Amino acid sequence: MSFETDLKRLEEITELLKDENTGLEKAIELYEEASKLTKSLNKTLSSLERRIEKVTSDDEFELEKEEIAEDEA
Amino acid sequence: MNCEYLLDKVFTVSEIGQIIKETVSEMFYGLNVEGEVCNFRTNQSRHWYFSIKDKDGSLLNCTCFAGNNWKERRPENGELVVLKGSLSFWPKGGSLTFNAESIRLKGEGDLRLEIEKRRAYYKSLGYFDDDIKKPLPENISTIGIITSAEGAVIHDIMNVTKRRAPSINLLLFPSLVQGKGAEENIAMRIRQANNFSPCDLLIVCRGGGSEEDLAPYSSTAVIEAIHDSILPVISAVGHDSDFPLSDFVADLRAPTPSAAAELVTEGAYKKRLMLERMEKELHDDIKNILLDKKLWLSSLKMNTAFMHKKLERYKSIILSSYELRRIIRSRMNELSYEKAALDDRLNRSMEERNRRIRDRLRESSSQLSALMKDITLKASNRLKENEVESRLVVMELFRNKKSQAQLLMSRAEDLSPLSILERGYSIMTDEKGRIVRSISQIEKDDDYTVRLSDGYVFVKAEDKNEL
Repeated sequence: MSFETDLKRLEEITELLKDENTGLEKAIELYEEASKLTKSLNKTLSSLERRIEKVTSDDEFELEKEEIAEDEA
Repeated sequence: MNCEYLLDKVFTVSEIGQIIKETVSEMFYGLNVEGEVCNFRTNQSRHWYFSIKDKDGSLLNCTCFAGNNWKERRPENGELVVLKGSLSFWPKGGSLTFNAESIRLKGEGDLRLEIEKRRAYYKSLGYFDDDIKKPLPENISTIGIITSAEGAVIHDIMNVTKRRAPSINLLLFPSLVQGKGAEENIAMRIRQANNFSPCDLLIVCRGGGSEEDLAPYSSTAVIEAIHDSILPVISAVGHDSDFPLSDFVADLRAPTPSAAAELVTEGAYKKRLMLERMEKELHDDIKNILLDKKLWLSSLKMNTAFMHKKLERYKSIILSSYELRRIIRSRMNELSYEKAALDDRLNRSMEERNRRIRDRLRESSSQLSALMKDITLKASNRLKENEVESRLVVMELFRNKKSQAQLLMSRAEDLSPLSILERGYSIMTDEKGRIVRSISQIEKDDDYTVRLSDGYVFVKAEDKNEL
C-alpha cells in the first residue's frame, strides 16, 4: 500500500473510532490496525535509512554514484 | 591669474603648494582611473591607503576615506580596479594622491550590464513566465543537489533534511560553483540529472559570494539547462539579496540553500506532524473507548454481584424440583382422600336433607288443612257475632244522634233574639231603623220605635239621663 492510501485508511479509522456505534472489539481491532499503519508510516517518514550519494562520473551521459557517509560532508 | 606677475614673483613653497592644490582640485575631479592595487593598508581611522599601478610601472597613490569606503568592497592587492574620484594635492607632504570615492573591480560594471541585458532577453522569450513553472512533486524520495562537494552548503542541506525528513535520499551532483568553467559544469550536471532522473527534483545552489562569483548562475548555459529541465528545479544561490538569473528561470526560488532544503522537505515534514497528531488522536480515542467500557464493566460487575447475592438468598428458599414434585404428589393424594370423604358426606347429608324436607312437607300440609278448617269456622262465628253487634251499635248511635239533635234544636231556639224578647227584653230603633245601643244615640224629641215580643210601641224621647 502507498503512503497516501495508508494515511487515508488511518483517517478512516480515526472517524470509525469516534463513531459510538463501533463496538469495543471492533475498536480494538481498528486500533491495532492503526498502530501498525502509524508504525509503518512513521518508519517511512522518520527512518534514518536515507541514502546519501555522490555522482562520480563527469560525463552527462553516464551516471555512476558512490555512497557518502552521513558525517562526511 | 596674471602670467607676468607669476613669472616675476618668487613663490614660497606653501604658496606654490596652495596654487597646485587649488588648480588640481578645480580641474581633476570625476575621473575614472584603472590600475592594479598594491601596497594596500588601513589605519585606525579606517581610511584606506593604497596605490594602483600600470604594467609599464606608473604608480598613483590613492586614498579612500572612511566616509566613502564603508559602502565599498575592500580591494585586495593585485586586483584590477576602476577608481572613480578626484586628484588632490597635499602641500605639507608635497604629494599628489587620487582620492577614490568608489572602487569597483574591473569588468564588474560590464558584468552587471550584461546580466541585465540577458535578463531582458530571456524574459522576452518567456523563460521566466509563471505558467511554465512546474510544481514540486508531492512525494519526494530523492533530492538532487547540484553544488560544491566541499563547503557548508551540502552540509547545511544534509542537516536540514535530516531534521525534517530523515527518510528522503540525497544525491549530490558535485559542481564548480564559481570561476572559469563553472557555468558549463553546472549546466552539464543539470542535463546529467535529466538524462537519468535518479531524483525527483533538483536544487541548484551555492553560498554567498561576490557578483562575479555568482555570475555562472546567470549564464546562458545554466539558464538554458534549467529551462530545458524536465525535473523541477529550485534555485538557491547566495543570500536573500542576490538574484542571479537562475532564480528567475527556475521553477522555484529559495533565498538560501537551507531554505531550499526546508521547502522540499515541507511536505514530508507536514506529513510527519500530521501523523504525530493522528497518532495522538487515535491513542486518545481508544483510551476513551476503553475507559468507557471499563466503567460500564465495573457497573456490570457490581450488578452481577448484587444479583448473585439475591440468587443465593433465593436458593435457600426455593426447593429443588424433585422435592417440589414429592410435595405436590403427597398433597394431591391428601386432596383426593379429602375429596372422597367430602363426596361421601355430601351424599349422605343430601339424602338426610331430602328426607327431612319430605317429612316437613307432609307435616305442614296436614297442619295447613286443620288450620284452614279452624280459620273458616272462627271466621263464620265472628261474622255472625259482628252482625249482631253492629246492629246494636248502629241503633245506639242513632239514638245518640237523635237526642243530640233535639238538644241542639232547643239551644238554637234559645239563641234567637225573638226568644230573648219573650223573656222580657225589647229592641229600640231610631227613625232610620238603626238599633239604639247607647244613650248617646238618643236625641231629645226624636221619635223611636220599641219592639216587644208580640208588637211595636212608637215613643218620643222627652228627656234622657246617662247612667
